[in-house]
Amino acid sequence: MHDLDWLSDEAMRQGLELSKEDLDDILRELMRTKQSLQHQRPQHSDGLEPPYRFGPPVTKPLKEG
Amino acid sequence: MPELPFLPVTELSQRIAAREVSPVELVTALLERIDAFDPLLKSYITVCHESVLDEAKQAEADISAGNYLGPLHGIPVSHKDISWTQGVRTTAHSKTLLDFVPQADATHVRRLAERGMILLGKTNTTEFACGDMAEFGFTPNPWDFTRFSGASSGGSASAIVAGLAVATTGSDTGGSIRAPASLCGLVGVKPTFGRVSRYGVIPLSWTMDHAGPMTRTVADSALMLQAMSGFDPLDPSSAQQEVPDFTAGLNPDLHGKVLGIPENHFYEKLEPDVDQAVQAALQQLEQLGARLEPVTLPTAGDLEVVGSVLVMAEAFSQHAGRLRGHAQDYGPKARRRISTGAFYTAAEYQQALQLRTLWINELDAVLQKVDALITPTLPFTAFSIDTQASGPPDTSWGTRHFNLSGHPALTLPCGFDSQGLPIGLQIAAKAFDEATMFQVAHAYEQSTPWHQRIPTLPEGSHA
Repeated sequence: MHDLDWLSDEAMRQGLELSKEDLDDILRELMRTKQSLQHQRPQHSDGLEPPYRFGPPVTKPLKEG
Repeated sequence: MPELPFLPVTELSQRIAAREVSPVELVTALLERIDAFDPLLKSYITVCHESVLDEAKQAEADISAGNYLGPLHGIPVSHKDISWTQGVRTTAHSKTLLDFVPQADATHVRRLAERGMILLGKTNTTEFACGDMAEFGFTPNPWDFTRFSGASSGGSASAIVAGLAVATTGSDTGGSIRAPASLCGLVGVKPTFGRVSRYGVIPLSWTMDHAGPMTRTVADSALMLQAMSGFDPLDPSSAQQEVPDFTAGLNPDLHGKVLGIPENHFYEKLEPDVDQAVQAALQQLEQLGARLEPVTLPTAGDLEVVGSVLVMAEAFSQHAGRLRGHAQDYGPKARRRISTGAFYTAAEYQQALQLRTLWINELDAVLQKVDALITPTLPFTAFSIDTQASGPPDTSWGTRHFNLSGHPALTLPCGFDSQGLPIGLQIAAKAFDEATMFQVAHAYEQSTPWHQRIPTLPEGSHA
């Protein structure tokens, strides 16, 4: 599981300017969700392909902001 | 007879068509209430004071000249400030988009305009539909100004219930239309994924976002969804599905309908008043002729983390560019929630997708045996603004299921708790079978008085 140092390095690697308070909050949420996922691993993966009817990102001809 | 701003769209429409009410009269009444109450209610980010009157005059002239476009002609609509509106700023309640004026309408905005709806304003939302309401202020619940109106389409909900709009649109990624509609006592619709184009809706999650109507009655929502629906080549996830007449089947007879009642998750941990209201609603549905069938959805209680991982990973991929340059221009809540998505692995994202597939298979199997599912929309009624600030309860508790699966779902009022706060009933149906969902909802609504209640706004809430 990640710790604050790893998270800080990874945020920097990804170019994200996050404060200590931000990282603390993010770490708490990651611990919660990742632990929960660990307890929900499907017993098998056959037939569990992602639902393809969900499309790719919308392509917009106009830019925001 | 209630004042014009409190009438359903279907009734206003008949009166406009008969030229008993003019769109100008209706818009003027709404603007007067907005000016009086919105300084405290903050349900709007932008009000189109001048252009809406011009559009109302034009609608009135067109209708008088016999160029009537149908039941939405001359009806004002307010869009959540996350949908592009050509020439009218669209902020998503974000400091980073304060000056963003779209050059085009979102497809659903354009489609409603083509049916003659006129733009009244842009409603308040949480920052990028997942953060705080710091920039433009917080929208309280018109039933109790100390309580929250819900997120993220809270402005769209509170505007209608307070009589500052007669119809609005919202977006729903985990329940953002249905939760505020439930907390404010309205009808809110999340259509089937692909039914309504998301072109021009500022994305949060590409696979979970839906746009839909919010109204006083089921018939109003059916009318609006009719206009909003249809294939759109500008949205790759748009479905090439026929759009049936959603209003054609609105009748009070539910004989022959089988309604699934989940035995797990959805009916657990309800506040006593919610439990009582929902049980009474089930009895009412039986009296209308429906047969209730217990069903089991084993993974229904395990989807919170699935939704969180998918939404935040997708939100980060959408926001990454803007976050890298302007992270500190985001409010803390949006910045932290969206940035969380940067730290999930591909394996974790795929696992969440697998769990989503398990859920879809489970739900599809149940919906082969029943016409619709009936659940509470939320296990609680509106909570305090302080609770929202310090750590709100899970407002996607009963709704994210249908964002994950793509099935259509709506909420409508089914009672009030002992403090006078609305309670919502959720109806979900098979993919692209909104017609059945609307029929069940309409039959229930028309046999109960809940949709007719109007809140008394507290003294001092007007400017």
